[in-house]
Amino acid sequence: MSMYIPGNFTSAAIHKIDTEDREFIFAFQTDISAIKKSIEAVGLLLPVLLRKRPAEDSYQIISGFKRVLACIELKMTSIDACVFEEDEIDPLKGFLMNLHENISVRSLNLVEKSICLSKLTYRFKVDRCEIITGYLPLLNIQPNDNMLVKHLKLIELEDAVKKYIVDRDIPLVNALKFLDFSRADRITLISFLASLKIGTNHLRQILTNIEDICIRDRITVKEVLDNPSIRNIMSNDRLSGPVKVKMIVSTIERDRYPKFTDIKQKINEGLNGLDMLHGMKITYPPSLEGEKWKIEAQFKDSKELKNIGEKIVSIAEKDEIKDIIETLWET
Amino acid sequence: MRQYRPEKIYIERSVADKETTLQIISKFAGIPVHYVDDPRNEHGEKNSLFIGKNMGSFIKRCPGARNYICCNYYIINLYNNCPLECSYCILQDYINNSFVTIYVNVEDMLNEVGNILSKNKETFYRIGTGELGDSLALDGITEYSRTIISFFARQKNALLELKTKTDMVGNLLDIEHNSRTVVSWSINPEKLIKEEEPKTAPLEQRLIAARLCQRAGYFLGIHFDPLIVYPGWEDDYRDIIMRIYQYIDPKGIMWISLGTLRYPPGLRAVIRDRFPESRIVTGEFINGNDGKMRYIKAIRKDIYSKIISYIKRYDSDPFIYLCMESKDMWQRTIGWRPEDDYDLDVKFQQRVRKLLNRGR
Repeated sequence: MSMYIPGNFTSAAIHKIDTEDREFIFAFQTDISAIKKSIEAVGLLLPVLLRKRPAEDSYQIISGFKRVLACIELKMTSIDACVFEEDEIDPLKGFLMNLHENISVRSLNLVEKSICLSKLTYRFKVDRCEIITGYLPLLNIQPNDNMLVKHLKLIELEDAVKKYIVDRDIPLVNALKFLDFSRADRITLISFLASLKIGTNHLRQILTNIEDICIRDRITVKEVLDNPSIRNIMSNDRLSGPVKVKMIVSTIERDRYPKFTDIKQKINEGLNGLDMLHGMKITYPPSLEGEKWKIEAQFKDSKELKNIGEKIVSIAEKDEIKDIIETLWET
Repeated sequence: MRQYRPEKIYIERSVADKETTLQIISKFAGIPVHYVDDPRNEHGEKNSLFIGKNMGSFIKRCPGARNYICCNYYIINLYNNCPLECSYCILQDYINNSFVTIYVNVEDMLNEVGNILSKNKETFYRIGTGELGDSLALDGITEYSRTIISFFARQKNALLELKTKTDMVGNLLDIEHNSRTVVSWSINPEKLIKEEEPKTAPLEQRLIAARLCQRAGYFLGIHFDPLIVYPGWEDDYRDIIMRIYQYIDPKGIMWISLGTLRYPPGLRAVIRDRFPESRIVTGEFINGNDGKMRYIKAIRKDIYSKIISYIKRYDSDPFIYLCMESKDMWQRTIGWRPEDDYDLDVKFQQRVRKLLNRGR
């Protein structure tokens, strides 16, 4: 295959460039402030790629969408471009030129990958096996059908959700969780989450628990979030961001697992009342499931060790510890 | 309930002329049949039926659950996958296809089981067929129950259990079983049957079928498994237990098992996808010691204790066991704890002997 692509370097009239035509474009989020500053400072360094549309007397953008938008905002009337005749570049080739130009200089975000795969699948009708074996690795995605299906699903999300995913660099596993909600619920969720800075694990926890509550109680996300405790946390300006998130996570978890959190709380309250030595810790069985409790303590010499031993004996003889252990079984 | 009817049938060529195969396809007039070299190589659309030969071993020990007490039960698989499609069915997670398979080399299964039983005469086996598919859901088509029950009627050291959620007992009622077959029903409240087990027989029909089997001299088993918590579960379970004893004489119940809903974590997504209206995964589950999701201990204890108290209102001498539970759960609900799987197996044998000696 020839590596040479014909094309005519010229100065193209900007008003003839059709910015609504996104056939080759997969860019999501067109923040052009940086590129505008660059063009203002040193001019356009790299010509854009355009394809002639003689019937409409216009150009299609193959590559350089953001540069064109920046030039328009800068009130430029022409732009340096490599222009191709319509029959020189078939649509798939044009798309691939843009794709390769982009992935050679930057990583695509999750939504852009999803747009690319959607175009390859539905617009350009590329064979599914070819997409899996050829294009998924190109986009740094594991080459299997499951991953293709998951990325294609993201296309269904609303722009506001996509924006949240891109802005917060949300991983695929969490991005897909939004699809478990209705359109209205997703919008409610995004406006709720927007003011919080949430890590991956906490976000997954929040989304999973809210989804479960909605299903369990047959209510909407709005109704879940209408919980007075959540509203109080959200409106409390004295709480720091991380504290707010932690409180939100535990409030939603309490709603999702009322008995579980109640038992844990009772146990912790009981343990706090045991008058343990400094550094001594009693831990309940993981997930409240096993039979064995754990006790931890630190000592530096035999005297401290003896104190710990005496303290353990005194705790073991108290009715309180029996009650605490029994709490595991109480609903 | 409606008889299973596939949309397409695939038959392994090597069994195409077998009498059993011909008998099965004779029940499906008008359904397209494809002959293939090896059904396992076919992808098979949903609602396809595969008829083939089981090349592997038929009899296996019940996998049970690590770190929990199990009952040393054996399973034979004449079917692979189940047409009943209950929402919580674990088969959705570990059988990676949606079609039902019927193995037609029943004689191989009987030979295998016969050899094991004759080589281990000192061991008493409890063997069930309901692990990878309901024991009776396809019995109207295969009539396997007649062959297997007759076979077990001649065995001295084994008891067969047929577990079902159907009312398809027509083949069972007129054959000599010699009390070597227990017919068991998995029971849940009507609400759960409608929502989570919609292709199974309604409660009333199951109970009528159970009564017919009891009249035909079979011992019965009752499995409250999976027990599922939802608002009002106590009333519903109390009600169905009352109804069970309106239909069934407790003296003829060999055993009653209790097991709360448990599932591998991966099943959650399958249930959400296939049964979006189902609420069963929204209970208070934790990841148990065997890696499966299960209700927290306090909830499980509450369920078991209440169900046992309801049962004891009608049955003064029930043999109740917990399926895949911890020793401490046994102690707190049943009142004693098996030391290990073998210990529980001994208790089962004592129960079986007691009822067999007492007679039906």
